[in-house]
Amino acid sequence: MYGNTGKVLEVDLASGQVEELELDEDVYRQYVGGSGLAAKLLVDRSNLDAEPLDPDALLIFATGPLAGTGMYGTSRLSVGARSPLTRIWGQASCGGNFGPELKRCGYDAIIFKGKAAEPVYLLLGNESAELVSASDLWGKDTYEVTDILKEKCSKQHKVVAVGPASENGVPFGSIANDYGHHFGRAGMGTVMASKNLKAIAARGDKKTEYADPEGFKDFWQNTIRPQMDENILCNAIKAFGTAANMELKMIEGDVPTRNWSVGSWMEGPDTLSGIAMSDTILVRNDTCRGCAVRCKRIIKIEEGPYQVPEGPGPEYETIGCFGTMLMNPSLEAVAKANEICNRLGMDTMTCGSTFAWAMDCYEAGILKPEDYDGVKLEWGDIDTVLDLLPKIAAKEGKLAQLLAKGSRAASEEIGGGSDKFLTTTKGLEAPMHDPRCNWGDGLAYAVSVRGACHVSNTMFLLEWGAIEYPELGLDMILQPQSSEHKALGVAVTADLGCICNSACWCEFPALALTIPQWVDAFNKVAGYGYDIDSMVQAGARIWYLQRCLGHIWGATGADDRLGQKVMIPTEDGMIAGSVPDMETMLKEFYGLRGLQDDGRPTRETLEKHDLGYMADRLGL
Amino acid sequence: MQVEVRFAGLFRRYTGERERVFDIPDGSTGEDLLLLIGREYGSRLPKNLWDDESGRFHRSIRLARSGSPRLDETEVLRDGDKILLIFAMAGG
Repeated sequence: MYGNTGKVLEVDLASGQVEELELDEDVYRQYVGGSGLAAKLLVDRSNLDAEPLDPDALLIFATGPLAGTGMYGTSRLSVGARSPLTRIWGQASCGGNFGPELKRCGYDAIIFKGKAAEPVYLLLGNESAELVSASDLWGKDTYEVTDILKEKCSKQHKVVAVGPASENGVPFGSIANDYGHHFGRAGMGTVMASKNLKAIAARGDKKTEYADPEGFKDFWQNTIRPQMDENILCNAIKAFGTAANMELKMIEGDVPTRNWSVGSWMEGPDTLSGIAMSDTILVRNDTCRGCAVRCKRIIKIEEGPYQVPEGPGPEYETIGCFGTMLMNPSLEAVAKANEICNRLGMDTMTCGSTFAWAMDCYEAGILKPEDYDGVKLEWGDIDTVLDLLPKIAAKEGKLAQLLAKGSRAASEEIGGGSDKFLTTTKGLEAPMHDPRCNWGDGLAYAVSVRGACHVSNTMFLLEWGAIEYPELGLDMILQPQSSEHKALGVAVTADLGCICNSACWCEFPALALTIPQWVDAFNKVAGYGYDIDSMVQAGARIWYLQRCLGHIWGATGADDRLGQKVMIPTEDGMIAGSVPDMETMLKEFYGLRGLQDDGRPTRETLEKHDLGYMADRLGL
Repeated sequence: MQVEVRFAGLFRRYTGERERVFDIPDGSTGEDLLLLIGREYGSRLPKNLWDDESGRFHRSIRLARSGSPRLDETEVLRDGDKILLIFAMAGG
């Protein structure tokens, strides 16, 4: 076995038993690793009728075949489960350092099942696993838990941990890896906490073998690394982080503003960008293990009302969700919100977007203060938002309990037409790239395997012209507000996105490589024997598998759509009047992907991707 | 004729300017304008963003104006056009 260890740990939290499973090489070749492997293991080993927070439900962490190679961006880790927020396939991906450490302990994945009688954490070493009492950790925030475990185990131990929000059942609970890296979306932290699993601490030193070690060494040092080092896009985010171009994006109309109401914040603040951050609160860059892109930010705010001790700063999405979406121009306040959400373990995207939805409802008179603790949710009032964050995590107070549901369920509670302000697809709030600016994003969100998501695929990069895939028929320049070529673009980039999330490979350095180089990386490290077609086929197989899970759990073709608010054209700015032509793009996409009118793949399509067993499960 | 080019985000940082008015011949196209911008500011731009030899920007650079989110490079500009230079890189 190359690249991978061939071993998966299965932990029964109820009985305390830990079992090592050995997987066939073919499973890795077909499902790559990471989120693909997690989905396959879930299908094979779980009760698919289990509700997301049932003890029977599985939570699976999985790393990829490139972890530990030192290639930039390959230290990520994926986690998969049925999402308590969306109720379909949930996955989240995290940078940081845990992926390679898991591999150094001798495992490619950990399956958690059951529920521990009392809070525990899993202590991992070289092919060893022990469940340890976490009663003293329960209730503590993720930074505190990480500090305690590093003190207790060693500073070299890598930690993933949930916070109080997950413990209290907030459905968008996140999982933190060493403070500033987060499995943010879809409530994976909530699933973890539902099992009384507080944390995992890992430290190992086992080595993995490569299929062609000398060939990979040469490939990495002499071809790939220089390409990544010289890539202008990677260097842009190295200099100024993921929010490097926030100001430009606001003018262009790509950054949702005032809950997707404002077209282009032409004269909006230039205080919310990565450039502004570097001139004010930035202390230094940080990075995921081994990556020289160094896109992460470490900030510090010593004075004023939004003090933050030196620590992880906000990314682009958080700056959008707590900045432009709420009409808040203060980067410092966004950084404070980021710190609170990190510590309490909540997805900043769902949280910020839910506030934005609520502010719209308040303005429209649907959400009445007298019904919800007398609180007024006004645009720009970030102080009220910050005050509510801990209450949301604790589910304390009527308004906090409402917001703690996430926007879709909160809308179901208050009714009154509040659904017209939603931005959710399949229950997941849309990211901070506006499909009215780039129509392909709309299709990508609508058909993404976990709900509205721009990192389940690489469409946004394609549409911006940041990448091209000539070997896959995508070397044309795409018009942003056009449906032309978008279905093909989303089909191809969905497969590539699945490969990235299954290889646990960051899309930033990955964009510096050509598709043949992707193939080479997998073959030289893991000996997968891919050519372009079989590699892309693996990505497609994962996409169909995860989509099928969604259908088993209640999704239909009718759910392949954008939230109502996203489909309302703005009246101003560079995207005035633009609405993505979803009907045309979806029709073409369905045709390309072999999907029936109800959204399910045909049996023929599934069998073509070695998923005949899913066709059986779907009753096709 | 004159066109105003707005720089924002990274390009504002690289050029040190928010906007710049360019005097260009009637009939100039988007491509002509990009060449002017590149020649003017190329030395201040990161390597590989502007290629002086070919006179071309990286493929992710484009021009836009209200109503035309991607101005075709062959499109003829109009006097008084307000153009946005887009370098579309932002995070996830």
